[in-house]
Amino acid sequence: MHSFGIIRQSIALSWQNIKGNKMRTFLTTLGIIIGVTAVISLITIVDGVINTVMSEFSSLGAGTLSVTAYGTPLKQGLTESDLEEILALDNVAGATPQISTTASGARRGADMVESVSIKGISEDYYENNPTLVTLGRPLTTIDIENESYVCVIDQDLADNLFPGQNPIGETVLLGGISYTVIGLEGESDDLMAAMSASGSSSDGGAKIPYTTAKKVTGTDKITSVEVYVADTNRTEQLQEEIEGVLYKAFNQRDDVYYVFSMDSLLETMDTMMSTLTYMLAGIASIALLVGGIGIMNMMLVSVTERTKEIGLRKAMGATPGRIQLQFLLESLVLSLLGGILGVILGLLISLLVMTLLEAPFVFSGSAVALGVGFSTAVGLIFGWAPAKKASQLSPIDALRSE
Amino acid sequence: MSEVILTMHDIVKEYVVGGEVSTVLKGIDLTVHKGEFLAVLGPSGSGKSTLMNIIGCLDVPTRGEYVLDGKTIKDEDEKSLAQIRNKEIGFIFQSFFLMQRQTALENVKMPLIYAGMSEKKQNERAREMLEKVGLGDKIDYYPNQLSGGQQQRVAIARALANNPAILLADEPTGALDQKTGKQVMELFHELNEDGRTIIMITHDANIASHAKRIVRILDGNIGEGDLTDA
Repeated sequence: MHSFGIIRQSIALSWQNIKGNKMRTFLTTLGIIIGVTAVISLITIVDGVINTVMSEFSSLGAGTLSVTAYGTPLKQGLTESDLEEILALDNVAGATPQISTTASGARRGADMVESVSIKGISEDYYENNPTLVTLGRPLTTIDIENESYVCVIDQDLADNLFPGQNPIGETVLLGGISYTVIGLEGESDDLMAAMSASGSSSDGGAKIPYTTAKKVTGTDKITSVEVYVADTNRTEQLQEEIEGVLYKAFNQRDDVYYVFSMDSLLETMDTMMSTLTYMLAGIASIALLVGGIGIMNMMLVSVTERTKEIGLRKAMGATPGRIQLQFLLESLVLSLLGGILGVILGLLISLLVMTLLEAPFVFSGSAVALGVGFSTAVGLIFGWAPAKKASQLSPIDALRSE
Repeated sequence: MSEVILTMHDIVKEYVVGGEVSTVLKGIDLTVHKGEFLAVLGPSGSGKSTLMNIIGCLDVPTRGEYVLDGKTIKDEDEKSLAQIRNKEIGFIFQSFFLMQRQTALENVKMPLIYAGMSEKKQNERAREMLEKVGLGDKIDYYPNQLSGGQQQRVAIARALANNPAILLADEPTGALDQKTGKQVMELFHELNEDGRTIIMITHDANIASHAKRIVRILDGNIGEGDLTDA
């Protein structure tokens, strides 16, 4: 109780001194304000961006393994038997081969569009992405077995060939072959699809049965296989098993195929981003260091200016410990003041930036704790030496100083 | 005679300046009883400031014995000296030494804070002391709103706050005009009549004459004496 009263009165006194020098207080705390603002806003913004990117990536990628092969002279790529072996593995919910090709496309009787990316797939694709088709119906087992000339087109192609019209049931020419449009994929929040679409700079895409694609392209070669994992806790194990299958299939070579896991990409990205965050925060904390030196400077000036006051207080019975506590608290109050202002400013800036980026603002309690913690530490560390100096002044010299 | 509050026996204070020892106090003997009003009269350089520092426990003697209110003041650590000053000594300075950013009440509270009193008691006591020196209506005034005499009264209230064994005044009227200086001396008389022990350090024989007993200090030596050649 007693020491609480001492600290309360010491803080009140600190506040009195800080208030008495408003301009100086502001300039002194500016370093801390800037430092904490930078740390808080960097962490909050980068955290928010990472969260957004990650959730987009994982909405597509969680539980998907992508298998591609460059092939050897003996075995030029993935084949249907590889697909079957993969499908036979435990923990596989499904797998779709992908046969990719590009063709020019046209609506019968209308202008052509230059480049349509065509993907031959199996029904597993839509079974594992059930929300993708927003109009019409997805490709089914029957379409695959019958090697039907049907397609599901994406929004871009629909916009290009059927602006403002319902494309379902219409006929399109893709590479000179006509297909019936059975379904429409909605605006994709599937990031990978969006990326591959923009990457191929196509005018849109269409999905057809892979059996049809084989017939049309005249090859047995499967470009890639998407494997859907049943139990995502064992994704890594499955990845190894698939690699084992391919190792055998490709005649014991391990450098001609690649099993890509979104999870491992996410992990890598997560690690990279957090490293980046801490690096940025580290740079920002240099401002805090400079701020701390500013506080130390001001406290040293303050001790010199108030030598007489220190002498008086000592004459009145202040022990060295009390004088030290007084100056340490003053430095702490100063830096905390800067820290709290910095936290508020940092959060406001992040809120503004996240609003501009149209990303959700996530209040980071740990960033606030970090800001307040940092400024407290700065106040204590840089206030220590001036406070010690004040406590060691001789009362006679201090009283005599003019 | 009444109880002894302070005894000094053969107090020597030496300073080492640039490798040379200079002796400022050369064996001071002094006894002060409770309720005395003593003036220590001496010109500047006589050693009276050093004597005041030792009486006030701001400094310790090089040699000799100093007993204050039954406690032997030796080369104690800073902390215990601070606590002794807080309890036993009420300082009054020539230039008042008030905190300009604090009200009269807050100034008087300073020694009470260091005594570890509760804030409620601090306020009560400080108010009481200000009333005693006739400033009960000015407790919330800042020093710059008060006259020099009033400021010195605040300082006196502050010195009295912890009910110290000795009121130790260093040229208490030095910064005041004659009239207000006289009023401060009248206050000293009142306090002394209430039984307060006062030791006043001065170079001014007129001021010293207000005390009931005068000791002269000259060149580090002390002696009871008349006022003529101070």
